Amino acid sequence: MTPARTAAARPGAALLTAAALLVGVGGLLLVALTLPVPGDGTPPNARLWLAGILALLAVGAVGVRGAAQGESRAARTLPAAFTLLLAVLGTEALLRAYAVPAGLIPTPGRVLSALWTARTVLLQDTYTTFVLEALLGFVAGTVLGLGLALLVVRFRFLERGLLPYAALFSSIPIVALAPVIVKAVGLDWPSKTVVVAVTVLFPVVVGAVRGLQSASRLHLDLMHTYAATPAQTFRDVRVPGALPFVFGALKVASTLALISAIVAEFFGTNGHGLGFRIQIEVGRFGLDIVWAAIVLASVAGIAFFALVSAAETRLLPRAGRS
Amino acid sequence: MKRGTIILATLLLAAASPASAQKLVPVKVQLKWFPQAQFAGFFVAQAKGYYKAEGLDVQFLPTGDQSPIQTVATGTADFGTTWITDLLTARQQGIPVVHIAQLFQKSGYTLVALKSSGIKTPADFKGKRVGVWPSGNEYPAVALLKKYGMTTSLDSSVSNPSVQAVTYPFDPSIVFPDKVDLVSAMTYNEVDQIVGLGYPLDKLQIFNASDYGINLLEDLMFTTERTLANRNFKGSGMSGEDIAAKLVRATLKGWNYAVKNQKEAVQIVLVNCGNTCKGSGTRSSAASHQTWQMTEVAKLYNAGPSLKGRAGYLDPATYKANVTLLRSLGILKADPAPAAVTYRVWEKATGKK
Repeated sequence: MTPARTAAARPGAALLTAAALLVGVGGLLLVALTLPVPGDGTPPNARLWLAGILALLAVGAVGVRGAAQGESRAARTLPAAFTLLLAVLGTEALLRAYAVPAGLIPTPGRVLSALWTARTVLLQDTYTTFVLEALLGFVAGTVLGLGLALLVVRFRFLERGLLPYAALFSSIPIVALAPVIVKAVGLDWPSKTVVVAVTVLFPVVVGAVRGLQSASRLHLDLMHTYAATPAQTFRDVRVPGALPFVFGALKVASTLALISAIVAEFFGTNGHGLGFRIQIEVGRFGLDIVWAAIVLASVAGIAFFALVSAAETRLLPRAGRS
Repeated sequence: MKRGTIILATLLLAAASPASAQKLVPVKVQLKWFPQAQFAGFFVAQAKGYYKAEGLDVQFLPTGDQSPIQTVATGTADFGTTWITDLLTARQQGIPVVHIAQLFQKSGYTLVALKSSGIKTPADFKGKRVGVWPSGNEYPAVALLKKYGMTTSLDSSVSNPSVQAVTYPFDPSIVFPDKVDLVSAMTYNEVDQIVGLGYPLDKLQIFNASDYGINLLEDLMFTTERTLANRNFKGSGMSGEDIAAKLVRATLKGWNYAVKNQKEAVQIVLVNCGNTCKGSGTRSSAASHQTWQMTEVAKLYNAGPSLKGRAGYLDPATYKANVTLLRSLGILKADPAPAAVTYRVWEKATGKK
């Protein structure tokens, strides 16, 4: 490893890396632009182009490897950025080389242009699916779950009588649950919010109960010697000890929430939402819109997960210090 | 030595007697929905041995709500049945599917409202909730609404629709009449289901799409350019086009028999389906629901060219009208490529021109 590191420090190696990245990215861009859009003109000689595209990808990979050397800020961010760029350009070039119909797999370029042309509707859909269904359901499920966890910890008969079922319910697959709830609650967005809340509820209950019961005997005895009230013990020992468990559950629930919202939309909607859009456009071979919706769902999902993680890092160290 | 002679003799015999000893060519056909009388002709052709007589071993793949285009385009099935708008929009998106025979000569698509809702003409649809099926089955409703200047959120460029589209999993009882004002219904299936739910025909306002100039053709047979161009279909020694012609010939024979002998056809259909053949509510008996379906489907089959002894023929004028309609509504951006339809298979199958 050491020779490579020292080599990266040399200006010659840096230049080589820059050249490799430039050739890889630039070459692929040029290939993608030269090849006709699938469906336009005669399909190109795929095998010939494949060799060229693979070669350019290899050159690009050498560049990414070079950029990943060292511990600088650039060395930590650039490789991922260039990997994405190479992957997108490589996909575009390959789809064009093989003239894959847009109705089966659209090129990334088409997806980007669909994102732009249908942005108003797609953002409305994202609002419905993410804010009204996933986020609201997540909050409702979390609040209910925490409340239920408190009751379970307080009353032993609930722990013995209810908790086993919470664990059981948390393993019910969403595809089995969604059609039933949508049929019972209705086709508008609240039915999806309920589906999300139900899927979020049980992992949160299970996580929070385990967390609240995780306080060590030693800490509890210490509080007892301080003559602390049960409320004080709860605030200063039980809750801080529970937070890592709760956040673990919330992070799992945040990804579940968005998946549940989208899947639940497959079972009936009033014409809004990302799941609705995906379903309707798949049937019309509008795969560019479908992929655009997937991109938006992923962005929302990653943002949501990051938000929960950020809340975790903000709350956890303080809890640890107190 | 003796054994060798016997083997040789058997081989010679096999070569000499064609059809009987020849292996049947396996053909997979993707139906557009679960088994029911909508596909009576196919099941009759199977039960009566019409496919076998053509040297085909036909297997039907049932489907739920995914498009038959997908299974045929990806090669999971060799042939399929679908609606014309589905076929032409797929073609527009670069999927090389080809129309080879037209089974239903008239559209059976309707929108149904309760008479008490006060909806009397399509112009009254504005601001109402319309139940539509996804997966390419929404086009007739979209076309009807567009014709009367209305928009829905089904169109990804419409952010402020004038009619609320409601999607649901096909069964009208989920939404009608509480959650939608109008619901999609095929004359041969959902109309009877709605009646079974307790809304007799005299309480229903039925809008037949074809009465309002939206006669988008439905059940047709299609395959891919690749299958048709195949010189040696699955090692049978026959071209894809020949196999297609055999399939169409046997299927039309099955259909002609089914519409003439509807009672018998229903019995054959019932053997092929379980729960999916049932109706709804008071009309849930599979036998009575499929009898209704057979009667209605026969009306769609016995129309246009079929009346002139040209069943399976895609009337060029109707096709042209469909394309013009779809273009004027913006569902098709350009005229489909000429290769989207071939008459060669039908001509080969029927010997007609």
